[in-house]
Amino acid sequence: MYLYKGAGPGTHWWTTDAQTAGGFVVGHAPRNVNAIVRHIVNYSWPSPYSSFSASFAAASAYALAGPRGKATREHPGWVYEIDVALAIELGARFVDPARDILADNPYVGAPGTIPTFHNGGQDLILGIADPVLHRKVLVTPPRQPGPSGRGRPIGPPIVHNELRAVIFALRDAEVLATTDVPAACITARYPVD
Amino acid sequence: MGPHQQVALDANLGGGWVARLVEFVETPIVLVTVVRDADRRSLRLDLGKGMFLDEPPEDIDKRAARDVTNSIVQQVAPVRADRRG
Repeated sequence: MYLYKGAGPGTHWWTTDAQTAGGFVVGHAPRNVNAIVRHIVNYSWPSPYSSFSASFAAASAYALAGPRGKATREHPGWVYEIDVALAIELGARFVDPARDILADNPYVGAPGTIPTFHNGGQDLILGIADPVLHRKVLVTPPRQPGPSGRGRPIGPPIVHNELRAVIFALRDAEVLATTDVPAACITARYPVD
Repeated sequence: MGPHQQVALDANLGGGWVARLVEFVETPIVLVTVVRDADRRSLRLDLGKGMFLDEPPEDIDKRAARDVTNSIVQQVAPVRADRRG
């Protein structure tokens, strides 16, 4: 299995070649489900995780632009390729963030909220994954018990960050490194523009 | 660059920073150009997550940045729909 990491022009792993700099490093901070959710939906700097993707296509989307502008033929973005088996052999560790978040859910019937559940319609996931094209789904009150249009008025669908994080992790085929990833397991660096 | 490749902006981010331009890269990522005097930076914005992927300048107003992010999402929606059509 291979993982990929996109580096757009001007980003750290574009100005610094991870192959010659010793590999990818992660920050030092508590690692738990809250930190995973924060890494995915709020901000990824600083973070005790480093994001990779199981999909070259998803990783390349992150490499096509950066602080120095769009990637061009002359100044391409880079997509690094990691050999997972080799990385693990060398001590690197990875987690599947969607799996970890879902595994942290309380059992059905436990007191409180199950954070990856929602009260929206079947199109809600489209709205979360692409709020630009499906924004209406996120603001329209979902149907409630009672005759259509005559139920008790409520607000927009309830969506917790855990659900958003799972959907975005699936969107990006995202994998998180929880340790540094040594340069020896970087098998290629592909230019993209 | 075609007319549907970018959207002009004039959005105050606080700290003297102004967002000037949104360029389409590849769904769901756009590139936002922010300027302050002669300082010019490009930041990737994930439209799906509604968050910047690159660290914004430290002295911008976080609330203003959030408002600008929401505004960008709304402004580029018709453009994106058009590009898909």
